[in-house]
Amino acid sequence: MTAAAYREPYRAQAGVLALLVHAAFFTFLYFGVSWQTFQVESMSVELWDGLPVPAATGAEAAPPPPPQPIAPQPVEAAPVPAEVKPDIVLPDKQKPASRPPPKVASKPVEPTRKPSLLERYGIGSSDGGAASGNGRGAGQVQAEVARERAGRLSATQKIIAEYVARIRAKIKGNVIVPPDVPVNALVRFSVTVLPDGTVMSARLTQSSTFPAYDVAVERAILKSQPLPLPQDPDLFNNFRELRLCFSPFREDLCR
Amino acid sequence: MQFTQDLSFLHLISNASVLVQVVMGLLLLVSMTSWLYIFQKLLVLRREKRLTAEFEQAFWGAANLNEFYKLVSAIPDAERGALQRIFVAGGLEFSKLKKHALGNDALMEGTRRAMRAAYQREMDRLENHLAFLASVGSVSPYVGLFGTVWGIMNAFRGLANVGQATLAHVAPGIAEALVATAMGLFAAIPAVLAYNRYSHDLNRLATHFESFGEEFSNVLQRQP
Repeated sequence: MTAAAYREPYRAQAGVLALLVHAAFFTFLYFGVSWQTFQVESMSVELWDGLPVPAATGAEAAPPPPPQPIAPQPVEAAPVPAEVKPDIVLPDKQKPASRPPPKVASKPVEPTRKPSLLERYGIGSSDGGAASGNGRGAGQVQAEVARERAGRLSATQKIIAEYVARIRAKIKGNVIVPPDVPVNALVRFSVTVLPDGTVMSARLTQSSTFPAYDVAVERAILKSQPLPLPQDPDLFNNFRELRLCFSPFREDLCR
Repeated sequence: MQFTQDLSFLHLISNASVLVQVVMGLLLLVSMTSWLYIFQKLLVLRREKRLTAEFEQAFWGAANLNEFYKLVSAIPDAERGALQRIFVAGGLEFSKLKKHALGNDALMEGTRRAMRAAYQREMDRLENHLAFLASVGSVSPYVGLFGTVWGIMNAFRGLANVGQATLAHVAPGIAEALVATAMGLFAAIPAVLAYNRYSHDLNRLATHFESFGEEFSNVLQRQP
């Protein structure tokens, strides 16, 4: 009976058991372990793509907006006191028919009934076309539209400027100016904003050459979320990519 | 660009680089073998302990040593335990030497040598494959680590090619690589535990065998 002739007993049983252990282990791994990483989509873009047109008629009827949108109203009414009337009557007639769609189609627009520039402008031109069919001179209408446009444009620009100022003020309030910042320090940031006012990215476009101040401003931008944005979604395009300039002591440098 | 990354287990293995897959395959093989030996040793040692206990009880309860020897040597070799083999070897040598009418000292010396040889052989058999378990326990984590390091190196090299680096680019590669470490540990931990357990059991068995050998020679010496 030599060592070579000797065969270890229980080989088959052990083999089966070893296989069982591995099978159990791999079954556990296969069913128990499946990590899934869902990339959270932060961009919900163009929700209100086609909204301005249906919202236009409703806009005329409801005037409970913040102060800014009221401003353009007299401006537009002044130049064309007589001819405007049919314009307003027409949409009023359409109102019952066209009002439901905005409610269903676009919730975000519904609460903001303010007359935005684009909406109004859209109405102005289409109504103008209808009115010209009623016997008005086309040239007159054109001029009227142009004037209206100019008035609205300046009005929205005012709104935009106001909100940019608000955003800057909010951020400025959060800036903790580090000591020893040079007086004429100046930073520019390009800030990407989401519709709800969250800052997606704040990119330094011009450094103040004083890194501590750059960092302080960046932190302040992030801290100021959500940024104050006008309620009118149509104006948001102007805020998508904000170029902001900050200076700790000399605001005049930013102009 | 909604994309989900399914990091299921199979996915992890199939996506790993070739070398990591080779390492994983090697580790799987090693793990299979080590588990085979673990179970085999478990069964062998359990049987050995049972047979040893039974034999010792029977030996000390036996009235006539000659009768008992005949009984034990009638058992086929495959069914004998290690201690029974030692006993038979000693008994056989004793009866052979007795015919030569040697002196008592020489007789006892020869018998003890025969039992010693049988004991060494039995221990060698029982210790068979234990060294493999020990090496698996100490080496397979390193092998797994090697696969992991290699996989992570590849993951980072891939990262260099991507313009905007995010964690999402490296994470799957690292997870794949870490599977190798997991497999190495899966092979190593049971092997180390089994090795420690079995060498302890073997030590106890060896003590049993040795003390039985001494006691048996005493009994033989008293034999008329």
